[in-house]
Amino acid sequence: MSKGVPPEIAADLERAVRLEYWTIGWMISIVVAMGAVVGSSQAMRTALIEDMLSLIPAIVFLVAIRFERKAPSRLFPFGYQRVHSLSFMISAVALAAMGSLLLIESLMTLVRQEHVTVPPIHLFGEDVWLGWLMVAALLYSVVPPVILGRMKLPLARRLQDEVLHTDALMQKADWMTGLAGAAGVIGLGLGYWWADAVAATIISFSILQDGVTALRIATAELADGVPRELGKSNIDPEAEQLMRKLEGQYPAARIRLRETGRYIHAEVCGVDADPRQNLKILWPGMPERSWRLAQLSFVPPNKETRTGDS
Amino acid sequence: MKRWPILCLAWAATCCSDIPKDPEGTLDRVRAERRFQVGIIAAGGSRIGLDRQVLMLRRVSEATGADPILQTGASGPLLTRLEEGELDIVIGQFAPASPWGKKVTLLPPIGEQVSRDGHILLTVAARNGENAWIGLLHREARAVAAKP
Repeated sequence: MSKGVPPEIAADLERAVRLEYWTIGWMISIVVAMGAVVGSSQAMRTALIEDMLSLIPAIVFLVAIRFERKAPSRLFPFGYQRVHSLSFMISAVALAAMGSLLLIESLMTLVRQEHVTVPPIHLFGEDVWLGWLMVAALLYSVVPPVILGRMKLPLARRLQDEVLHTDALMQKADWMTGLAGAAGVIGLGLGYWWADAVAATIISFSILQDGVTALRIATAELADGVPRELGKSNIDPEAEQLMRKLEGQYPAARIRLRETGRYIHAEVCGVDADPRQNLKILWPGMPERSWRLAQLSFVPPNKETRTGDS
Repeated sequence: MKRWPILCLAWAATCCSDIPKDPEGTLDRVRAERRFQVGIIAAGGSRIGLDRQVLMLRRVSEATGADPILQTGASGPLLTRLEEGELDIVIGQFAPASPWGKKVTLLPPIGEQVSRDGHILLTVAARNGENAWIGLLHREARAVAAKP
């Protein structure tokens, strides 16, 4: 491993880091553009908050990578691979909490039948309805995330990176937020007072959905669950193949797999240590992904922990 | 087939020129009925900004082809009636951080003064969300404010 990460993924990781810095730059420009014209439109405000929240996965990724590259220390002898899962959990909680708050707020606006005022502004000697500037900012907010999301998705798959994958999916789906917001503002302009609040409800629901999905995956990782397929809650096919291979090699043993960040840790319970094992040869999937199997440990008979017996 | 894009653009341009519209149709009603209901907040005999109030009403009247129907009263009842749609505008003195700013739309001030009570703005208030009507009032309020 170079600088704490396997050499096979070092180049992809560097590219992902560069993309996340680009993401932060573009998202700040979007937040500034939208903040300048936000007014009192709820859809606009919710879309702005979503764009601000979409900075979190990018920042979390960069922080987690810094930790992942650190060598194990006396106080953290297993290294910092799990920081990745921990930071993913933090961003998931932030997304879910903010999504819930915004959803409640937009539903309350609908219940109270609040009518939103979008006044004109004086621009270059002309009166321009602020709604048009909002629509322009919302359409601008669609383009960079969709391109960045598409660029990140294959990288996230190769790196087996949940934070990057969630970030890519959120950005790829960002066009819906932008268009929902623009439709809400135009609906408001057409005299439908509820259009803005309905658009805000749709956007906040999508934030909540992103948060809940991320929360489910992060919980599985932190609770030593079996490795999951990227962005899904079912078992990772590569992990399943590995489990079958180990079961074939050690029929009397019980096989346990868990995921720490992007790596798989395997435990063979009920047999003595096998010194012939080689992690690269053992890996049943594509050889270039053998880095995923980071550890194989053996638990001799009668030494299994109580939790392992259940 | 080639006419479709042109027709779509023409349709979009027609729709866009009509935006924004009022959810409660204030501007259309004012133009149709040729009158609008005005609440003047009583200022305890003060005539400060009276000329600007008159100028504002005259400009709105010219822009809509409608006559103002005036009624005077205390700010609370007038602004409540504005919120409920019984009045179309309320003109009066407001503090810069007036709590009414959330319940009704306060337009750019048409005059201001500094008194012992602090900074006071002479402002027009309109019902929230009536964006076409508010757009017209905005334009006229800015024109009145620009007068020396």
